[in-house]
Amino acid sequence: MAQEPTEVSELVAHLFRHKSAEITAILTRIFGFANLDLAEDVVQETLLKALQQWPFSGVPKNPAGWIMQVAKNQTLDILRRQNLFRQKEAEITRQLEQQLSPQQNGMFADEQLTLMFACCHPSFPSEVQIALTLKSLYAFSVAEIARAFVTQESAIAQRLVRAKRKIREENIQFELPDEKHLSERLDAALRVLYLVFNEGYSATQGDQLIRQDLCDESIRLASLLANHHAGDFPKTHALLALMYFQASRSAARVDAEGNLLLLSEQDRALWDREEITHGFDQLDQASSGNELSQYHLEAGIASMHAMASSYEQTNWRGILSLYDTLIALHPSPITKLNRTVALSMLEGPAAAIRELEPMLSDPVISDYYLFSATMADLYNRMGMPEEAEEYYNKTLQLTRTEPERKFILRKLSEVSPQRRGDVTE
Amino acid sequence: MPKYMLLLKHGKFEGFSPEQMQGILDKYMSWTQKLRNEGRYIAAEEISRDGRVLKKNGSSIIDGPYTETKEAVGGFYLIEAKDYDEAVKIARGCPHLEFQGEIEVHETIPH
Repeated sequence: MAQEPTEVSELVAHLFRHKSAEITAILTRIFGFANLDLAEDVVQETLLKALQQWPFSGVPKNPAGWIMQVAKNQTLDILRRQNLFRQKEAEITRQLEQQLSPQQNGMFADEQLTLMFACCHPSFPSEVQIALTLKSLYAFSVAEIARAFVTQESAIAQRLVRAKRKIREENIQFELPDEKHLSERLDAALRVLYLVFNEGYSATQGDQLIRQDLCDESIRLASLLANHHAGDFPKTHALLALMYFQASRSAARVDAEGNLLLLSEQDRALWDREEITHGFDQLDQASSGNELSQYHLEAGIASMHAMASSYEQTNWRGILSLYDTLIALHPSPITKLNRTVALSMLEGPAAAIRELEPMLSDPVISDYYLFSATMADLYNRMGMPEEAEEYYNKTLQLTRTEPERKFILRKLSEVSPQRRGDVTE
Repeated sequence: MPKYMLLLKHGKFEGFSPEQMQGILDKYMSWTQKLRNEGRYIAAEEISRDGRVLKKNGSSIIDGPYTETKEAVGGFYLIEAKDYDEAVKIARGCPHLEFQGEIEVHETIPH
């Protein structure tokens, strides 16, 4: 006789990913950073067991606890198989029972953050810090990392192998930085989270403009940092504020067909109010002390957009002022470009074009699709559609994703009908 | 209603990230939940990858290990379906097939 339908346990979203990060952190604490491979094997085998068993047995009542328990057994199994740490077996078993017990439902923030600092060690170049962090804490596969950063899988795999060799050769420790080096070590970690978040926010490759998981996990890790003594600095709260403000616009940035919508075109009713509130909370916490970082300024600018009921009613003067400070601190072509957009809202498109024109000679800028798109938009606002069309055509050559391309094509079609209307002969 | 055994043989789950594995699991759970909701689910068990095989050799019985081959079994479901066509239709919806798995469908014979 067939059974009555029963309640099947639901799996919390991203449970596997989060447990993966926790288990990796716990095991590198116990076995050392040099044994990252061991941690990865344990995670893989544990989750594989769940995948092989749960379809038949059903999801257990306490899936997180089950995973921890099995991870513990898998660890002991691998140690025995590979004949590792034999002399310390009793001690290790004790530590594993304590950490990987089904009752443990903490987030292991301390372990995860120590792992993050280790992955962001100054011995590694930036792209290695990112790869290690994505593998260990975001629990991305090599393939996913490669897709996120437009690189070959083999290149990422190589990068990780070399990183692990370096960990062994230089004996890089699994420990929090000391007081003296904490601020600069924190900078590296914040930079990685910032870069990964930005990649998720405006993916530079592929058909999806927003990689939600990169943004969500960056916020998760930045939150862990902000709430921990090793990361509780104003600049951390400022970065977290920035992330919340940017993330709050996710639903509005893309329309139903996946087309890109500018800030001026977004339905602000779709902005996530809860995330905006978190953003202001964090901005508040960031304003304690007298530290002013790049993240403070970017978060400040984002907060002004978050506060405005419309594009026209935005505090452009306040934003311009923040851009001025930001450029003084951290001059970059993209920042200067964004500043001219604010300038154009205060002094009109002609003034902005005058600012931008001298920047044309910089190849970094002239090759950046948003620069051409901005010029096009400014010319269009000045009622010069021919010049606008020229710049939009140039922009088409420079776009890298499908949503970007479709956006420029849309702008082109908006500019061209005007022209056709002007032809009187 | 007749009963059918769906024998799920060795699927491949290498190279997936934790998030992807959870996604795969969600698919299996949806499929089994549907079986329950339709009142078809009778039983399911995972089967170990090793085992023993017995054979008569001359006048004695020998038994040895069942070594894992690509025929290795993952588990089975026992379900109710009105006929083979229906049982096969149900099996087609099982995610196991997406992961290089095979599904054998056998009607059980009531006596």
